[in-house]
Amino acid sequence: MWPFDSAPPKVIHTNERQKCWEARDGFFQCLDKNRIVSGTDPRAKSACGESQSKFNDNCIKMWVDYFLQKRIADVQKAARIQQLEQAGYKPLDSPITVEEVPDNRQ
Amino acid sequence: MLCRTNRQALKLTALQPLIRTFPRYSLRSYSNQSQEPESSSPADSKGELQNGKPKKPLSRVVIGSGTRVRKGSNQLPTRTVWRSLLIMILGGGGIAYFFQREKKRLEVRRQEKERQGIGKPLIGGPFKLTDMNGNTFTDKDLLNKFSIIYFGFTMCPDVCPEELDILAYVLNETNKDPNNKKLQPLFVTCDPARDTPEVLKEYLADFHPDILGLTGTYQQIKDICKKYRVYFSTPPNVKPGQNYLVDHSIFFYLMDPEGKFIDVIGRNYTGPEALEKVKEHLDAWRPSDAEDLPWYKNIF
Repeated sequence: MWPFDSAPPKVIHTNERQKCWEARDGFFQCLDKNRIVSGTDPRAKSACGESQSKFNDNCIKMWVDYFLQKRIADVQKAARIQQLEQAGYKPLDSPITVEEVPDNRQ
Repeated sequence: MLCRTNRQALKLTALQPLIRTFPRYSLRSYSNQSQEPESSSPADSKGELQNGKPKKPLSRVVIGSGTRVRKGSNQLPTRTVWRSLLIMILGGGGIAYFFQREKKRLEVRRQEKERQGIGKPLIGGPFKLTDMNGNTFTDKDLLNKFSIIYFGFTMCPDVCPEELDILAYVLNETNKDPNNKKLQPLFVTCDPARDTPEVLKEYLADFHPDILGLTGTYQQIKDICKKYRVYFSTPPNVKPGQNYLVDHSIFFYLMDPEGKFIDVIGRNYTGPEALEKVKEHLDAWRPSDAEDLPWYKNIF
């Protein structure tokens, strides 16, 4: 019926996606607990082997790669935001407060 | 205190005969005053009649007035004064309120028109695609109903499904009446190579039965994405089955029943927030020919 049966999945359904997301969250929680950033870190396999294989089994390869990359980017982003906020920067979407400037023109 | 009230009363009653009997009044008044000596005691100003004429403190009264004041009538004008004051305040307030309201309405309208810009719309335009049932779908199919358009792809790992869940949340509210569906939800794929009508149909059924998937050739998709200012990065020569993800901008586009762009709803909106915004726009929108009616036809 489907002309490209060799292609891995055609449609990912909600239940499959849910399973994948749950497996991902389980694996990432384990990584957090062990203070590992990258899922490809060799320590990940020894510390979180079980949840890692669950993650790989429930998500298609494309998504696995994407989620691993995204995790690294998210961790870096969070660290950078923390760094900036400690330096006194404020997020752009926070309400802007303008300090009153004394009028010295008179 | 009493004295003061009476004086005021006299002064004000005086205005009525003044107006009524103006032609005769100057002649009579002089003779009256010459006969009656000035009196300043409170007892005299009570308005008692002497020979049918009241005594009055001359210095406080307009010359010649009060000749026709009847006994006891000094109580009535106080009430009349308050009544007329009240009418004035209410009337004035009413008019002021009306003008304020009208001013504000026109201001909002002016801002709306300003936002619309001049000339061609910046977002939207003619397009031709194929829907998930194999029918042609063009920009003409946006007419006569509100549409909400989302650009995505079915292999999307996390963002699109989350956004489609938000869309489903909105639709559960706006389209709950099967005879009065307020929104036409459209999902335009940025990945036409893999997202055939069949894939779209199967994928979208998981989210909401109303969502209509649209696909087309790579050129057609590129064309509509350009017109809707959607960035996407599908490689043009990928073969089906090849693994890749599509990078694209994440917005819902709300279009009015004339096919014109109203607003975008971004990633930062939760389901209830998005619903709130959609409802606001559905309520506020008016056909553009109604905008040209004279102002008084739009008040009520």
